[in-house]
Amino acid sequence: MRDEDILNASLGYFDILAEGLKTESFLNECIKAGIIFKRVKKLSYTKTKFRIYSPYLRRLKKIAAGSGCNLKILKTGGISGAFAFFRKRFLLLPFIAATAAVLFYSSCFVWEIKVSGCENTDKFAVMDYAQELGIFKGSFMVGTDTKEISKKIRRNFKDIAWANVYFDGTECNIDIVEKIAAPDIVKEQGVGNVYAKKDGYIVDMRVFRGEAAVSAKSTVKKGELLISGDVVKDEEVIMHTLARGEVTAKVWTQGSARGSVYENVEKRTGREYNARCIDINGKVYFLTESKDKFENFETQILNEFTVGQNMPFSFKIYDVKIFETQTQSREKNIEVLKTQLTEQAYENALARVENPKEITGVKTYVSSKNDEMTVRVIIETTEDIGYTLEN
Amino acid sequence: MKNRKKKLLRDATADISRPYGKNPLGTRIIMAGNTDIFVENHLGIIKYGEHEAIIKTHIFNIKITGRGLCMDTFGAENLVVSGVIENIKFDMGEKTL
Repeated sequence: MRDEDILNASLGYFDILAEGLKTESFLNECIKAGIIFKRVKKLSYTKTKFRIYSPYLRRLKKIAAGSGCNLKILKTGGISGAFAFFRKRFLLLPFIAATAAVLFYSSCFVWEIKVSGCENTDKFAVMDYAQELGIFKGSFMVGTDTKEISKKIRRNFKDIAWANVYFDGTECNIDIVEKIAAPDIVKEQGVGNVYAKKDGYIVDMRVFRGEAAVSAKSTVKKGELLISGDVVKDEEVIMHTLARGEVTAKVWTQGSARGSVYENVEKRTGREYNARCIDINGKVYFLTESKDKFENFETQILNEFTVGQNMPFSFKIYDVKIFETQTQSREKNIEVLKTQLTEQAYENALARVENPKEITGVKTYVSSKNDEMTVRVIIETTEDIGYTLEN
Repeated sequence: MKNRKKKLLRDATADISRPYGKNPLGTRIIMAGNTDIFVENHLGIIKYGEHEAIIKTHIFNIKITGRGLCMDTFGAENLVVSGVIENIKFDMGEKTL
């Protein structure tokens, strides 16, 4: 399609039925006058249907009047078609314009108010207050300061934490978020206070919430109140809070270990004899009988033979020497024993310490009584000793 | 000499710009399959119907026969006939419009 055709089509077109004799001559006359026809179709001998664009209509009518051909407009389209439509219905356009103006004007008013998020607050109380502030059904919404109204609603109702007023079309929405009440603190159970979980000497104390019950550089015992959740003013409890803080104290933990000074050792007497024994599947049988059996003895393997090695059945034969032994008591090396017991006591003490921040000192005490040596180790650590009942 | 050159040049450019070769009254006919026929430089229609269309040109008449013939475009310069074209005949006899 050419550009000219597109322009003509958008300006308007007419589907026309031409009636008369010699329509071919009529069409030839028209094209000589510069008219361009589209979709020419002969319906019968006297009837021809075609489409022309609006600029050619006047010329076509003039030629038709001269040639005696009757024209009948079947359909119009494009802008000229719309003009023809509104020329017949001249009241329609003002009516549409008036309706659009009325709709536009009426859309500037509030026709519906919705309040959402009210559970404890009375919804109608909010709507009444909004009405006082100028938002009601039929109020003019243009120029309404919704931010200011939101603020006023939030200030007026104690249970409302946040409010937002906005317009959605002709609808005014009031979104509300209510305050959530804090859980009640049961004072009888001591919930909310910080207590000492160990005996100790307070080195540092940081109170995040609540009031300190003890001062730093003081000694506390296990279970003693460190930080109180009661906020006192003029000797009167004005508020209960969940006390929070960090109480660092020096804590001493003791560990001990005990050991005998003497030890038993087996010593050979000098009596001995040779024997032969057989080992079948881990069971040992003596092949030679001994003349005298020793109560305490130790053995030494002299020779070892394996019979049937790599066979389904095998056994071993040993030549052994048996020495008689006697139990004798002997004093241990004191320094070695002391070191062993100190290490053991230190490990025991360290196992009792929970989450130490720092080990600041170690003291060792050694005592001997009734052939026994006792070592006590005391570890000095700094720890957070505060705990709360709710934890 | 100069005039002769100018004349030769003018003739040459005129020959190139002429769309229908050496015949100024020539008619161009283009067919797309057997459904569309494009006729340029015609003199109008003699007869037109659903089964037959006779188009007048300067030298001969084009007789198109077929089924469901319809003129998509009909103007002073060109015309397009659509439909199922079965036969085209060039008739030198009829000259009347």
